[in-house]
Amino acid sequence: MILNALSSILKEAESSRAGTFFPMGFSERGVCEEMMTEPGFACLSAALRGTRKGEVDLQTVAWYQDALIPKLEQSRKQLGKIVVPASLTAGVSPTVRSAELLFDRLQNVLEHVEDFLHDECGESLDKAISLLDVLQEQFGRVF
Amino acid sequence: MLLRDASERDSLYRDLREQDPDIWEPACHRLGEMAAADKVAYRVLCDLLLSSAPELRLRGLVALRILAPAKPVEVGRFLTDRVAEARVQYDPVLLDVTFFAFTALPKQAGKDLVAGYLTDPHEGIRAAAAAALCFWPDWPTGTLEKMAGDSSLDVRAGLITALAELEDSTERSRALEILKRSNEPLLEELLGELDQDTLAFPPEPAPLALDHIQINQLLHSPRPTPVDIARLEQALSQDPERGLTLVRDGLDAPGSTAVLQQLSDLCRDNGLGTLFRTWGGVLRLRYLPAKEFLLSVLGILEGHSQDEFLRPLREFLKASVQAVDGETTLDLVAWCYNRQVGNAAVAVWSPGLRSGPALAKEAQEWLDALARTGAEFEGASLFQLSNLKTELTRLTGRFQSSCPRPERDILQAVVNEWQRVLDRDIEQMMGGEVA
Repeated sequence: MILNALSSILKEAESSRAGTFFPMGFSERGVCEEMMTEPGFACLSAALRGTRKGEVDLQTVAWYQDALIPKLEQSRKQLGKIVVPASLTAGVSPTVRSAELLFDRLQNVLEHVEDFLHDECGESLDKAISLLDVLQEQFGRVF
Repeated sequence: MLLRDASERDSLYRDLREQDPDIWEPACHRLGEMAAADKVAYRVLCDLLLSSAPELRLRGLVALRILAPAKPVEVGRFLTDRVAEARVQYDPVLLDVTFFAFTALPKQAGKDLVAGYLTDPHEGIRAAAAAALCFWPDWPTGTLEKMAGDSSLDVRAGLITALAELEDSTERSRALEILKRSNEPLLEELLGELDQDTLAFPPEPAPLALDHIQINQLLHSPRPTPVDIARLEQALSQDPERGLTLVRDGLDAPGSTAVLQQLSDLCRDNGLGTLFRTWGGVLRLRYLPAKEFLLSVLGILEGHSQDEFLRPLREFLKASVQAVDGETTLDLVAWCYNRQVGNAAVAVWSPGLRSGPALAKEAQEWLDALARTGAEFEGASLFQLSNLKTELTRLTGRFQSSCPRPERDILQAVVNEWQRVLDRDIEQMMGGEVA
């Protein structure tokens, strides 16, 4: 009897464990749940993948595109405002260069996405996803 | 029946950890049988029994019952060791199951051991022994009466569960009379249940979640029980963000370290368990030198879970470690600029990296405020250094009142280290050592 009770308690505990405590950042359709407040290129990456699988429509991608263009511009301006004193240039310049490079590449991503939205060309979509993959890896190391 | 090869061992390992009782229960039986003759299987069983997860330890005890008739001495020694552990870390569920496992020992060995525990100074052990009285019918005259007169309420409650299983006798009636005379509401309720033929199974078998006041009381308790912790965990499962806020609010309470320790062990969610382990580390280690403290806490976080919801806290801790990774004021100021550049990149890449339930939102804002303050530093003059020091003191006063713990402790460590570096640079400059 005790063993049966024990089994049911353990079963209950295991079934509770099956879910995750906090939901993931992306819904099943690959759409970023943070999109409504603060979109980022990491979310665009997931959305583009969803598009390739047919889970995310073009309108959603266009929505990301529209939100990210001013966002990128704003970050570029923010970076431009940071004036590093000469005594610190050696220590800070590599990070600034990495950020500038990142923003340039993200601009390229947006152009590929623009091409994709314009003529629905799979090649542009693949280029955008590949570039975002490379940036994802570099981004984690630098920032 | 020996473990023939690695694949069979792997299969057994997997089956023992399966969710489905139809798989893990036979696996436990198989393991118990094998462990009698095979050293590898015996070691697998020992690993299971010594696992950090309570559920796996319980599965180990299931296997142990099968092994007990074949290896009574080893199993007896193992069980008495587990009872001894209960004096340090009291888990009533495991203790009850351990006493149940005594019944598997041959002849009267288990009964003799339980008889010894009836007079144990630890009331939890006496209670488990009293509840185990029902497994053997022939106790010496006076045993039940003696336990009914025990000073501990837990022991008397344990005895009532045993009396429910024992057949009617003069000895049993006398014990019931003594228990009825005590007029304790809990005992009266339990005795009332004895008269009912069948008891309704609780509609909701999961533990009842603690409410706000109960969580606060728990955080002030010097000895929280695993049942309370399970109920706290239930509260966290029902409403994670509110639950985290309540635990965070109670971090100043004297029992919070013990609660965090138990929560991190018992949490079903690994990410949440890691969060509490990290918080516990912050409270415990905050008196260490800043660099050592921050690296230790980051080590706790990195070492237990890569859960996505911990990412904001992980990034915050990494930034804090980088903030103190300098030997001169200029190194610290360089961090300020790097932080500002990094923030611009994060804002466009993944703004969600900076915030989430695992990190108080004020923490990032204060670390940014520190970066802004440092970036106003214009040169290594005595005036500038003193000015930065004053600004740091002002900043500390402000975040002390508006940033919650444990993030406040992390920020405090960063500021302390900055103050130390600044003091040294000021001292050097006053001594004329720095141009």
